[in-house]
Amino acid sequence: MATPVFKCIHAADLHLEQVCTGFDQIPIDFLDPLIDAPYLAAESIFTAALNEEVDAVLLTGDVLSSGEYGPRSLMFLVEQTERLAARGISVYWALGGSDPPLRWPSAALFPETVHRLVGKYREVFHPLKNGQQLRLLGPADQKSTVRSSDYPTAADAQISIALGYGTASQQALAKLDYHYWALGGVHLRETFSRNPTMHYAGTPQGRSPAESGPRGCTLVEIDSEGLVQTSPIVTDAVRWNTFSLSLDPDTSQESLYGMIQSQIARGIVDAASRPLLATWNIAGSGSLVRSLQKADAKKKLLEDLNAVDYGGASVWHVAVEAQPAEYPAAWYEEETILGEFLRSLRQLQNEGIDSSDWEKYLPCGNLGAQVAARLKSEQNSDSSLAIKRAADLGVHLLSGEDV
Amino acid sequence: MQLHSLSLTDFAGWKHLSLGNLSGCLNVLHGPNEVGKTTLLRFLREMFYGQVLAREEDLRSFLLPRGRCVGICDVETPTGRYRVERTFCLPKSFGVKAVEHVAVERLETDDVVQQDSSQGVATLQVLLSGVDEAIYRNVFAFGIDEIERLALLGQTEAGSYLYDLSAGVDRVSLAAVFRALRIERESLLDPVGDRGEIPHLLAQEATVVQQLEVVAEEQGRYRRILSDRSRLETKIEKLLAVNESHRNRLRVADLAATVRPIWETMQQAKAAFDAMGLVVNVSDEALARLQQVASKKVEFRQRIGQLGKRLEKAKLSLAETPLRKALIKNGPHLDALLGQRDWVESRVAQIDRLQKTVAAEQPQIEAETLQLGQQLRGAIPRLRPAARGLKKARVEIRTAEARALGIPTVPERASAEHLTEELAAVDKLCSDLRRRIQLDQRRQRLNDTKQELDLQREGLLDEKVLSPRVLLVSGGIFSFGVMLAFSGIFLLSLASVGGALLTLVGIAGSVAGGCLKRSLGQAQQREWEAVQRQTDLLAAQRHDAEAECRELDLLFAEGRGPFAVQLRELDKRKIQLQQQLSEQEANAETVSKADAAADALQTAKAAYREARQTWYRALHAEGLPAKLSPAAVRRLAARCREESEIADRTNLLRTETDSRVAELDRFLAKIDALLELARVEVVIDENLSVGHRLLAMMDALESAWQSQQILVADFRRLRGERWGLERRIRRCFRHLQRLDEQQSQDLEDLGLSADEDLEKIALRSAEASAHQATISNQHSRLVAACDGICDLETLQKELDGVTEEQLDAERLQLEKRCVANDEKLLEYTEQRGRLGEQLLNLASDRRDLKLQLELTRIRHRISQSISRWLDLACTSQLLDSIRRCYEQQRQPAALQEASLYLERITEGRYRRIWTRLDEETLCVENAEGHHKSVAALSRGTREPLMLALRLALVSQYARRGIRLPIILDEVLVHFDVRRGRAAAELLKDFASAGGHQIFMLTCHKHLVSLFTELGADVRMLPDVHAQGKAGDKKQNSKAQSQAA
Repeated sequence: MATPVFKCIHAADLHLEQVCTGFDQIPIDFLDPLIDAPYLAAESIFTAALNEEVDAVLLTGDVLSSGEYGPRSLMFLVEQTERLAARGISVYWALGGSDPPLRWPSAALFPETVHRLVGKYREVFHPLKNGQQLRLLGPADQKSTVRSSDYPTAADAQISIALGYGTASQQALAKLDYHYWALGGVHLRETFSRNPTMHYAGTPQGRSPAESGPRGCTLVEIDSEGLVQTSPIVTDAVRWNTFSLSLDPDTSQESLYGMIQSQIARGIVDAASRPLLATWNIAGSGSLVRSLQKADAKKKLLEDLNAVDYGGASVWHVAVEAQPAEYPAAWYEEETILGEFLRSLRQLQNEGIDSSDWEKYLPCGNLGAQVAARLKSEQNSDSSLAIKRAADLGVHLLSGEDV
Repeated sequence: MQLHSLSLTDFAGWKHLSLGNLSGCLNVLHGPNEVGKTTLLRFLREMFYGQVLAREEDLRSFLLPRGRCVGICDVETPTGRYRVERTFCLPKSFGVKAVEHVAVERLETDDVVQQDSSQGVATLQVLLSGVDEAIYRNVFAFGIDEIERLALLGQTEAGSYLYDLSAGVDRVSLAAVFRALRIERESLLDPVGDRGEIPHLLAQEATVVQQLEVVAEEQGRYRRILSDRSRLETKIEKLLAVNESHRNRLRVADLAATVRPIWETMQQAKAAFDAMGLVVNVSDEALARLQQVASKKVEFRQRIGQLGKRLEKAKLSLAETPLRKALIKNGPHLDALLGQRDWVESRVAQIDRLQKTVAAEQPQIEAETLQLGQQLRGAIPRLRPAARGLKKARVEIRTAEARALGIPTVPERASAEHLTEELAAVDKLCSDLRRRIQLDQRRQRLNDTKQELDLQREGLLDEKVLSPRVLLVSGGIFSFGVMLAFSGIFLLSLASVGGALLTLVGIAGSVAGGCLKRSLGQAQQREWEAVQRQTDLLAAQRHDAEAECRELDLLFAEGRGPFAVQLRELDKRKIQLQQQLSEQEANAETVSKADAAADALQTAKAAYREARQTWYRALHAEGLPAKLSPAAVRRLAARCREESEIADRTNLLRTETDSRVAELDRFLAKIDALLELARVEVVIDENLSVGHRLLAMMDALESAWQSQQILVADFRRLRGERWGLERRIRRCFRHLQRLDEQQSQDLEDLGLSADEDLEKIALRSAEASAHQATISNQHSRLVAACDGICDLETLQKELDGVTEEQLDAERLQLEKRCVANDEKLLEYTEQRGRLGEQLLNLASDRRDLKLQLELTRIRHRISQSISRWLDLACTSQLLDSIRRCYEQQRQPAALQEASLYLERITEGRYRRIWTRLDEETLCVENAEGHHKSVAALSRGTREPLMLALRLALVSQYARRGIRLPIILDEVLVHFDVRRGRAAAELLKDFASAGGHQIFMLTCHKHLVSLFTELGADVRMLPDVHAQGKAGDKKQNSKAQSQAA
């Protein structure tokens, strides 16, 4: 790649007000890191911009939440953009679904180098080092889909960057001849096209076990020919990590601890002195896996793991998830209650859970309605998993292991 | 297991009871109330499972008149008959363990009776097929009071066990599964009240949400603060603008007051300049240029004069320079010849060196020397044999001397004979010592052998008396033979042949026995004698060895240690002597060699003397001096050869010198020719050699040529100088012409004639320029004063037409306005700072984030709990549907069988017993298909139900190979006549068909009659009161006798 004429940091989904979730207890040592994590991660983005001496910072949506942002996030963002403005670095902020609207009184607090791109103010030109100008085009509105019809075809002679928010179609956008599509609204970093480059920067800080692994922003370099090169920059302040273990039927408790210690040692190295929040996904077969499907066994395992000293590294084991087991086909053929139960489950998997199956167990009144509402959302989220969990529970009870 | 008989002594009310030959089917034991039927039930239970005194009341109510009692039961099992004997003891107080004794004896065998109590209990447990007490009490042996307990299955452990057993249809009890599901589900969400984890978490969530709203409301103030701050900033900006305007005006007024003198000076200069009118505008530059042109013209004219003088002088010097054209013409040839000067000099030096060499070598070559050389060349072949002989003799002498010196001197040593003798003595001593050591070893071996033989002899001595077995065998054979012989003699009278044979065999056997004993005794004797002989032989050998040892001991001195040590030392000494002897032999050989070398040296010396005489004679014959050695002759001959060679080389040098001189002559001719052409005259000394003459001529020619070259160079320099001067003069004329033209042009441009006075014009022009400079200077100062404050026009407006007083008044007014604005600005800025501080405080407030974190944690837990609840509910629902199906279609076999019994007892009024799998209750279905729970049944129906259920359970146990005696105490007492008869028939059929032993205890005569009709074994129990009274009387009489 030739010497870049434009260098920028592409970040998205900062969600400054969104706190971490996914744990049922929080150790006191992790309280402050968890609260500060979104801010520290965002600060790392702006520090990286200063260190890399970029020309601009592209923010593609969900930086703030219009209904939830408070003084802290606002003042933080103003402070960080002023740091960039002092070095002459522009900020191009494509407004996402949860960002404050274009007519936002507090926008006046930001320095003039901050450009909020949406609607009729969505097009700006940035002067390049070679004397030319780079065209930046933001989204037409704050909807959660990047529509190709909202973006005019780019001029051949000019380097163009499109900023978008939401889901996108690679085939539709590729025809528009933009050199770089800076996209936001998806929390996982992803480059789903290389020609032209269409890239989701992902969130700079994972918020739950579902967002495990390193998170950050992207350094984008564009040369005079319009060739784009992207490099990831890790910014997360707290590292979520989901470890998967596959156990044999012969795996003992000691072996399981050994495997966990081995994995966690690698996780600590990967986390590089960040606080590490570990989630364990245990699959396989055998009595150990079946025993780990019980809440007490999981709780005991978590307590044991959290009691281990990792030599100064901050590690907290958040959860242990034992995958639902697969049962032998012969069990389904048994003329027993267990066999009948498994056959009924098979039928239930085809038909799905009906609310009438559990409504009769609910209390009457407001509490029942409240729980029912939550149950429906829970049921809608992953119905098949709920059935599998019910299968595990029933099998354990009927096999006499848990009674 | 079936009871065959039982007996008890002093058990509660029973003094003594013995029942034997009990039926294996239905036994009916009847007696009036308080006869001890229930006590008998209890006795049988406790015979099998021991006492159960759970409370102090039990201890008080359980009477053992003598403190202990003994019960005996004979039981029959598939493995045989056993007697179970249990001794009951009462503890002194409640809580103290009573020591019971249980013995189980297998009858009809010779085995030892098991007396140990613990073993007895274990054996008894085996006989009871592992059925525990609870099951036995509730299923096999129960009374009318206990029959109802099955209805309360959930309240006792045994009842629960029975119920589970009846309800279990899978690996676990479905009721227990339902119970576990319900408990966990209700721990999450109680359907009745607001208890459970989920309501608790929801309440927590609501609390946190409320707190969050409060915090959000507090933090929402930042919007108002931002708005206020924005308004303040607008005001501050406006105020700053107004203030800036006032300050600008004030600065301009101040400036005007400051620059007023400059302004006035500038105005005066302008007036003076205007007063001068029209001034020819001759600039200083133009004037200076004109003056400069005039002065340059004068300067060029002077320079032309000087250059003309220098040109004349150069022309004169050129004309006087003496140049030789012939020499200059042949200059290249001269350079070429003079360039060969080095070659000529080398040739001259070479000729001189050759001539010197020839002159130096000439004296060395003398005629005598050459003559002697010729003489020596002739004599040397003749002298060579003598010289060779002399050399050979000398070589031989040296060889002999070297050989003599190479033989080492031999030191004085002991004589060989002495060493040989000593070696022989040591050798003999060594052999004696070895023999002595061997003798010791032999003695040791003999001793060992003797000990072995002694042991063997002792053994043989013991074996001389034959062992009992041998004696028994031989004696047996002998006795058997004698017995046969006597038998034969006895039979001889009956059957002559058989008796004779038998007699013969008997005699042969007795003889054989005697022979056997004798042969064995002789063999032992022979062996003993052989050992004895060996012992004697060993003693003799040992004696000989000891004698020899004594002889040898005389040879060795005492106090030198063990023989092995002495032998080692002697071996060392022997080796030393052998080495010395070998050295002695080597020395003798060396001495003989030295003698031979001395003889050879003497011989060589004589030969040398002879050869030397021969050499002298040969020298004399050749006429050479006698003192010459062959080497001197060789050196002399070599010297003569060298001188001859020098003479030859001198001749060669002379020839070479001549050729070099000829070359120089040819070169000299060339030089002469050139000198003539160049017309150079050279005077040379004719006595000089050709080379040196040539060099002198070349030197003269070179000096002439160099002087001529200097003159040529001077000529050229002067000619160049003349040409340069001519060029410079021409250039000066051209400059002068250009200056004239420039002067004319400048005057024309200024509009002046060549005759005008440039000085006057310059003075007027200077005056005007001074005024202009003053104006310009003051203008510049004004512009500089305005820098950054205002423009010049504004300042001019401020100064033009404004008096100083007016200006001061305006300044004062502006200053007052500025002070007022500054005060307002300060106030606004402070307000803005306070708002910013409030904003920062709000921004640093982390309460909302902590609450949000807590909220997410609670919601996560709610989600988990709800998810778990959903799992439990789905599982419960599924299992519930399965339960319904099972309740309809898959009732346990026990209940199906019990249904048959119940239907028979109730004569078809109730046809099915079934159980709900999720609850620990039983239900019955009547002929109309209506279902009732047990609790809803009347006692008259409930008791048949329980009896039927127990019979079904007994049947289930029997299918598993467990058969125990069934004891029923007044269980039919509440049955009406029809149901009583049906139940009796059922019991009779159940006992006979299933092989169950049933003991029916009853006090009702109609039941006794009923069972009697059915053919049961009916027995009347003895009256316990009569026994008790008799017993009391006995005890009283015993007490009275003891008191007397």
